[in-house]
Amino acid sequence: MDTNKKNQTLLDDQENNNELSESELKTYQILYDALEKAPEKGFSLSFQNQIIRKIEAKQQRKFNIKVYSLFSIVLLMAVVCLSTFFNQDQFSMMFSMFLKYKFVALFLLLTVILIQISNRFMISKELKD
Amino acid sequence: MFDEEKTINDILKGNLTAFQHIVKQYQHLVYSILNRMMTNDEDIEDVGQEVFIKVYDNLKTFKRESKLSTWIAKITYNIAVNYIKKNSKQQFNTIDERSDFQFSSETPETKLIGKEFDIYINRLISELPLQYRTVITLYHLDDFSLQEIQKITKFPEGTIKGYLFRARKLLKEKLKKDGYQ
Repeated sequence: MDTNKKNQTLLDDQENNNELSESELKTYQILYDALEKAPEKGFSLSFQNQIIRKIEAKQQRKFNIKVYSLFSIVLLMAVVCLSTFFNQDQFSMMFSMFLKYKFVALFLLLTVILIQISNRFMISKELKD
Repeated sequence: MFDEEKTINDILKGNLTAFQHIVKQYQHLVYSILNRMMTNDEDIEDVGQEVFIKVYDNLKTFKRESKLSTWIAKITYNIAVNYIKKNSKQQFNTIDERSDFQFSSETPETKLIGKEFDIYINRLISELPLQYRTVITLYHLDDFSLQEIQKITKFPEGTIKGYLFRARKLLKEKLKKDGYQ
């Protein structure tokens, strides 16, 4: 605190206390000096790096969401586009094909979901550490 | 030397390394506020991280009407108040002006000096009501003006002056009682 601010503070305290004795002024001086002292402790040494890692992870998540959204839109458009080339018989044939290999398709889908979940779990665990 | 304007522009261009300079520059300010408002070291670390992530996310909205330190202190104060309201049993909004405040710390047997005195005075400050210790930290330790504290806490200037005066008076009387005169 600069001297002007310190003097003003002392004046405020004097004004509000009516008359301050010399010993009281001395106590206020001790107090002002003590109040200005910064804490000895601080954030941990890894504080900065943890923040940067969290920001990077957040940015990565945002990027992934954008990519997935874009991919979903393109896929949807492709499906709509393709559907115009097929007739009903071809659709039922495709459906029966899918039913034939449903377990393989289900297995692949579950594998992808599991990989995604474990990846997210590992990232969040790493950030916590 | 730390060039605030250039650092902000670099961050807005996506330079994360530049943001490390902001963290380095203002982590003591954030710590000093949180250290007086909260008690648990782990909570202080978590909330500190939350503060800087919010600073990064909202830097584009910083209008340069106030100093960057005031803006960061305001974010710190708001996040800490929300955290306390959510997680702590202590009431934030009420200070009973009429009730007699008493420090629970007993007078030390001997007159403390140096580091021991600093620890003692910090213990006394931590016993003060939350608003008192917040404004006293912002004013004396972080060197903010009354107007800046008003921007940070949204307390009226008269209230801030009252809190500062009463907090100092309580501490002065306790020190006087303990023989520091």
